[in-house]
Amino acid sequence: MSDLPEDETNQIQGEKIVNTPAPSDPPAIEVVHLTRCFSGIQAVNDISFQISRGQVVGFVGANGAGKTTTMRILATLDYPNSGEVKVCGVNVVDYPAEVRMKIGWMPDNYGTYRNMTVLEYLDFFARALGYKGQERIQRIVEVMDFTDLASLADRLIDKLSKGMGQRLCLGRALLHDPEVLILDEPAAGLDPRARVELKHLIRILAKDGKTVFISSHILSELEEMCDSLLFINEGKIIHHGSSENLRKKKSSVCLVEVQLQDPPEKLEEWASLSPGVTFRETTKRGGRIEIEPAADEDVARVIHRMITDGLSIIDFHREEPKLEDAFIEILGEIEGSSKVVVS
Amino acid sequence: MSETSSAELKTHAKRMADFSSHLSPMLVKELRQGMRTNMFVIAFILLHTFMMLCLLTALSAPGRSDSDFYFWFIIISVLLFIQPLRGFNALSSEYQSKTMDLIHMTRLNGWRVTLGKWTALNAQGLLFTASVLPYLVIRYFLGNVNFIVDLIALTLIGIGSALATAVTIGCSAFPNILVRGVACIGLTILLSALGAFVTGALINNYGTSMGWEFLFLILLIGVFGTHYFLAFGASRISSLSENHATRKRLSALLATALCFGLGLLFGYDPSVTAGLATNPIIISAILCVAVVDALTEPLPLFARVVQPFSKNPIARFFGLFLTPGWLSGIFFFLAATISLIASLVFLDQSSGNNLERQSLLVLLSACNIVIFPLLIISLFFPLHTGSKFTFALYLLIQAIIGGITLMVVAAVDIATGGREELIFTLLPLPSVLIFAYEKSQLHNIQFLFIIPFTTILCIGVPLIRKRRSLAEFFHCLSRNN
Repeated sequence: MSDLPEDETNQIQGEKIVNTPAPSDPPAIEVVHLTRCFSGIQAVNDISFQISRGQVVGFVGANGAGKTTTMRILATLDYPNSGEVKVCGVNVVDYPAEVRMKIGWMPDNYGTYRNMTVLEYLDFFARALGYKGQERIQRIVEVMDFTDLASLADRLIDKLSKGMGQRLCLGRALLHDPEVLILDEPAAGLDPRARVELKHLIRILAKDGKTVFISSHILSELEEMCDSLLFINEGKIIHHGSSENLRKKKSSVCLVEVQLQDPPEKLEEWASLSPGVTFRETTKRGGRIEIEPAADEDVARVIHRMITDGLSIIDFHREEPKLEDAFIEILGEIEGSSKVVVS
Repeated sequence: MSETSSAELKTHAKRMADFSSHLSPMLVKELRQGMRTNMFVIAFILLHTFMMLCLLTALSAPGRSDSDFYFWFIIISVLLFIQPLRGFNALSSEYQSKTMDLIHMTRLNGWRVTLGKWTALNAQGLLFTASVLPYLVIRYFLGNVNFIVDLIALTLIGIGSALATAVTIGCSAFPNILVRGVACIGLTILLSALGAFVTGALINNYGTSMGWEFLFLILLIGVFGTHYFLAFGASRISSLSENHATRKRLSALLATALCFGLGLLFGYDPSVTAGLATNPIIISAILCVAVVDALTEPLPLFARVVQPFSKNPIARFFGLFLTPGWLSGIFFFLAATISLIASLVFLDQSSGNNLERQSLLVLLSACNIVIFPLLIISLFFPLHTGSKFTFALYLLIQAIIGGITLMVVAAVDIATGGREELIFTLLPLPSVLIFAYEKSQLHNIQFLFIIPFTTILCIGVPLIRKRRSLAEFFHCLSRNN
């Protein structure tokens, strides 16, 4: 898409990207003590965070946690009751028009028009964004090229599949070449292929130096794309850091999937009698157990004990800690306290 | 992407770079969409089918007036009913299709959105009108047709159509279909009554010939109404940092001044009561619409919208009643009431009459009718003072008060032996008080006390209940930038 400013250096490391903005640049997103209430209910409760330029940050939380409210405030579509929100150093309440030109907003439900083709849709938004003449044509062509919508130019929007619609919506958000992209649940309802395509487009945007703030329920997907993750629960930020750091929290426990020739109940019975082993769940041919501590020698000792205790093991598989589990653990930890975990 | 498809894409996109590049984005979008709708196509085909039938009827029996009736019936149906009805969903459809937020993210503000939609609908109306002109010319050659009168009638229908379309587009800013419907019906009744009243009064005054004053007044109502209702819709869909209130309120005051000026310019014949009341009635209607809108507006982001008014004392004074939100709406109500009473007194004196003190009190009570629902909302629904439901709540309360007033009227008709006064005292609603005055059931002293007290109550209670917002408003207004 656009050329990066000269004062920004991009260091591509495999799929991920590290942008080094000039020291004088304000952060792409800056939220300080943001609070938003709706009829007495605190949707967002005194949250603060910062996102540097060029970062891809995932925003995670359950339904009603405050993700969309926060994102709508960032997109100047809602107002905070208190606190300050800045995008690229510009206050969203005082200068909404300026902020809108810096951000590309993609809501969870992309809006469609009846009786309108893909090309007309992009043309309307390009006009509405103030593009004229040749420049407008250039922008539309670039965006359709990027999102691979050229073959659908004359198709009516209401006849598009969900995946095509999301690509169109992303194209619309990119028309004015914004510095920051705010994507609210862009992968929701997409089939696996469309999901992969969307992920690919977001990776390219990240390589291009755009700051991407993306929300999703699917942690594994965010993990592949994001530099860091921001967890929100009941309107409060409960964790802000990389997925690796989040996993480390869970590394004191080792999760193992065991398959047996015996019935799964036998594994559960054995685990209840074994110190340092906790039975987690039953699987088709066995179960999952947690071993604590998770050092290699401890795991080896447990396998040895299982064999000596007469369990007929046919498969033993050590699983990587899941982000979902780490998230649930954090939720458990912060219950009753309002501490923010920054790692 | 291959070179070929990229070239194809450029060809596609170049199609968009025609004359439409010079038009408003919303107009282009609405025309593209609108002319593809089934409603437009069916209405167009039906119109021409009926026109052909009318023409055949006229050809088979020259001189019969049936074809005339059908001709105008069809024109009126299309321009005064079908076209405005298409505006009923104009803005709410953007909410339904979840595209309003996307529009907010562009450079289009609320005014450009509503104006674009209105222009597109009227352009389609113009297309309808232009397409029937050949029939008009053929009718002329068949005889019994006054071409100039027909053209004037067509122009007046066009003005009515533009105004009615603006009303439905303005009201379509309410996503709730019930509120939208009630607002549209209420305003249609008000405007139709006003139109009928103005026409009736002027015909009484000048006979059947249409004077200049008639044309000026129709044009004034048309231009003001169209502008006001489009701005009304714009303000209801815009973000809280946009200011549409100042333009709306100023346009209402300007229309009032023009109407007042027309009254002075053309003079009045005090012997013709209807003629005398024409201009004051129009002034009252204009101010009533503007005040109801002002009193139901949500509170804006003061720090941003008040900023331009805090430069000097004169700007601050105007900012008191021209900034958006219902708080300044209360001060606008005061300004409008004073303007109305002053203009009526002046017009009355210029015609050689002297308005009585009781008439002034009745006038004040009529003004109280407009603000009274705000008192109810402030007392019983404080969370909805200036919320998006306030307008709907306002209409509901007015409807309930109207119902109570009708019941009181019925009760008074059957009450005897001094009970009428008891009924009036127990229900001191502004509308009931006017009725009591008409029935001469209340003494002057009671009027002198109750009516100004009601005004103070209607203004004071909402201000006191929202004193923190009021303090913030004054703080922002007095802060030097």
